[in-house]
Amino acid sequence: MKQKPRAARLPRPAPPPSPPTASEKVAIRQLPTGARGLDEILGGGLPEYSFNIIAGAPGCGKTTLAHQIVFANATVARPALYFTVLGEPAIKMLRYQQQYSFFDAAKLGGAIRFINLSEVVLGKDLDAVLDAIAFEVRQADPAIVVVDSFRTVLRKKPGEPASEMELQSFTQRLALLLTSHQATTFLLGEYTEGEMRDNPVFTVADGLFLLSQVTERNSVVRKIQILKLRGQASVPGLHTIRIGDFGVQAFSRTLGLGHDAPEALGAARLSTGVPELDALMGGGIPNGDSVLIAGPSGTGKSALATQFIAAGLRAGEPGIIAIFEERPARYVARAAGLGLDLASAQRDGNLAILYLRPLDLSVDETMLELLDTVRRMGAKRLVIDSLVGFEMALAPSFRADYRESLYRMIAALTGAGVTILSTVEIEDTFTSFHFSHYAISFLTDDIVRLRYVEIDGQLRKILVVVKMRGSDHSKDIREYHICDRGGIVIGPPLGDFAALTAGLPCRLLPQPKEGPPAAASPP
Amino acid sequence: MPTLSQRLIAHELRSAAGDGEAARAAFRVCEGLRRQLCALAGVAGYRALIARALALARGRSPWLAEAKIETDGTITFPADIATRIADAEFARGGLLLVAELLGLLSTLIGETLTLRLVSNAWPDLPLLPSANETDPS
Repeated sequence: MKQKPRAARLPRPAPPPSPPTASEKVAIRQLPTGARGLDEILGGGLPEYSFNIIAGAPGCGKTTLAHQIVFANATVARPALYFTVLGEPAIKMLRYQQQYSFFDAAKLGGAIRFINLSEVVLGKDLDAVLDAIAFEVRQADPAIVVVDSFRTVLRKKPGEPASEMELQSFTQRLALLLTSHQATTFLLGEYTEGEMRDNPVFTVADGLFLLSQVTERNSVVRKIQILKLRGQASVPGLHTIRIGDFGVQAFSRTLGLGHDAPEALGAARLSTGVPELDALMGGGIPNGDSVLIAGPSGTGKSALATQFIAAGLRAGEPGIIAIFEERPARYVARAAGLGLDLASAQRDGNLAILYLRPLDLSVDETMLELLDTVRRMGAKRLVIDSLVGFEMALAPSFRADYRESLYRMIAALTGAGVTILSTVEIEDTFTSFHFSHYAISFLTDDIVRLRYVEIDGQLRKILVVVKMRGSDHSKDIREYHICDRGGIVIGPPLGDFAALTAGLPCRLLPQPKEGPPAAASPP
Repeated sequence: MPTLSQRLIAHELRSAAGDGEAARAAFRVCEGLRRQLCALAGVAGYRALIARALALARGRSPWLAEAKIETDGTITFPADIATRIADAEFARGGLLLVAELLGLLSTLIGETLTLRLVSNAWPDLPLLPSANETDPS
C-alpha cells in the first residue's frame, strides 16, 4: 500500500512578540484644549508634540478654537507662537478674540506671541517660510505653534504653483522641525472634507479636526469631526459645537451614554403632590423613574408637573423645571394661581426654572445644561414641560434623531439620580387611545394618561395610570378636576361607564338584583 | 493716550543729545512701535495704521504733510525740514502723531492690549502691574 507523501515539516513560526507592557510604552501626555467638552471627544485631550490640522470653511470657529488651545497651554517658560499669514489681520483678530472669556491679555507678548509671516510668504518661497518659522521656534522654544492660515502658505509659490510633492515635502519638514522642538502644532486652513481626503499634505498630520456649519431650514448648526487622531481613541462622528462668550464648546454625540451607574435609590416613592394619584401609582413615583404625563391641551399636565415639583420642595428636595413654551415669570404666576409658591423656592436656590428656546438647540447641549444644574443644585426632581416644546426648540437637523437623543438624555439624567416628569401634548381622538405622537413611551418607566370624555353633555376629564415599570398600580379610570386653589383633585372611579378611553362613554345599565331563581313553569 | 505719548517721548528724550535730537524723540517712539507692530500685524498692517495716524495728526500739525512713509513703515522727512520748522512745532507734530497712533490702537484693540504692546517695546518703562500680579506662569 502506497503511503501518501508526507508534507514537509515547516519550521515552527516564532511566537509573536508580546505586546509592550504599560511601563515600556512611551507615555503621551495630553494637553487640554481649553474648550469644554472637546477633551472628552478627543479621548482625554490633545496628544503632546502632535502635528494637527484644524480645517473648515470661514466662520466655523477655527481661529477661536486655536486661541483657546493657545491660552490654555502657553506659559512664559514654554510660550505659544501664533504665525499669521494673509488671513484675518492680527489687529482685528485681537480686537474680536479679546471678547471671549478665555482671553487673558496678560499672556500677550510673553506667553503668547503673534508673528506675521505675510511678507515672507508673499515675497519668497516655501524654504524661506520654513526658515522664518525655524528661526522663531529656535528663539522662543515654544510649547504650541499655530499657523493661521496654513492653506495660504501652501497656495503661494512665486512664479509657479508648487507641486504636490513640494507641498508634502514642505509639510513634512515643518512637522519634523516642530516635533523635534517638542512643539504641539496646529495648522489652520479653509479646507473641505473632500479636499482633506484627497490631499497628500494631510497624510503627515497626526490629527485632523474638521469644523463645519450645517444649514437646514434657516437654522445653522456648527459641528466638529475628528477625522484622524494618532495614538488615542477619539469619539467618532459629528459632534455639535457652539460658540459663545466662553469660546468654542463641544457636545459629544455620546454624551450621557458613559454616565455612571445610577446610585442605589432604594424603594422610596416620591409624592406627585396629588394624594389620590400617589395611591393609584402604588404609593407615588418610584425614586429615579422617568414619568410621562400625556394628554391634550388644557387637561392639566403643567398643573400636575408643578404639583410634583412643589411636593418635592415641601419635602426638601430641590427641583428643576425646563420649559420651552412659556416664560418663567408666567409659569411661576400660573403656579401661584394654583396656590403653589415657586417664587420663594427660586429665590432660595431650591428651584431653577430653565427657559430654553433658541430654536437651534441640540439635545446634547440641553442635556449638559440640565446635568450641570442638577449637579450644582443637588436636584432630585426634574420637570420637562413639554417634550413637544423641546422638539420645537431644536434645530431641524436634530429633530430627525430626537428619540435617540431623548433616550440618551433621560438615561443620563436618571443616572444622575433625578426623578423626571415629562409632559407631552397629544390630540384626543374618539376612536383610539394614544400615549404620544412620538412613540417615546418606551423611554419612560411610568405613564399617566389624561384625556377628555363627554358625559351628560359635558366635556370632563379623566386620568388613568397606564404603565408602571416593575410595580403594580391601580387600573381605575378616575375623573378629576383642576381647582383654582389646590390644583388637581381626583374623584372616585367611574364605574358606571364603559368605553371611557374612547372618549364617548356609555352609561352601563344597573345590574339586576340577585334573588332566588324563578320556579320552573309546568310544561 | 496723550499722557502715554508724553511719557514715551520723555523716556526717549533721556537719551537725547541736543535740542534737534530731542525734537526727533517722538519719531523714535514711532520706530519702537513699528518694530512691535510689524511683528504682530506685518509691514502692511503697520503702514496702514501709521498712514491713518499721520492723516489724523496732519489736521492739527500741517507740516506733517511733508512726512513720507517708506515701504518698511519708517517715517522720513525732507533733509531741510529742521531748518524750516521750529523745534517746538516739530516736537508738537511728533507728539500728535504718536498720540494718534496709540489712540488708533486703543480704539481697535483696547487700552489694555495697547499698553501691553507698548510695554513689550519699552520693557524698562513701568506701564503695567508687575509680572507677579498679572502672570503667575
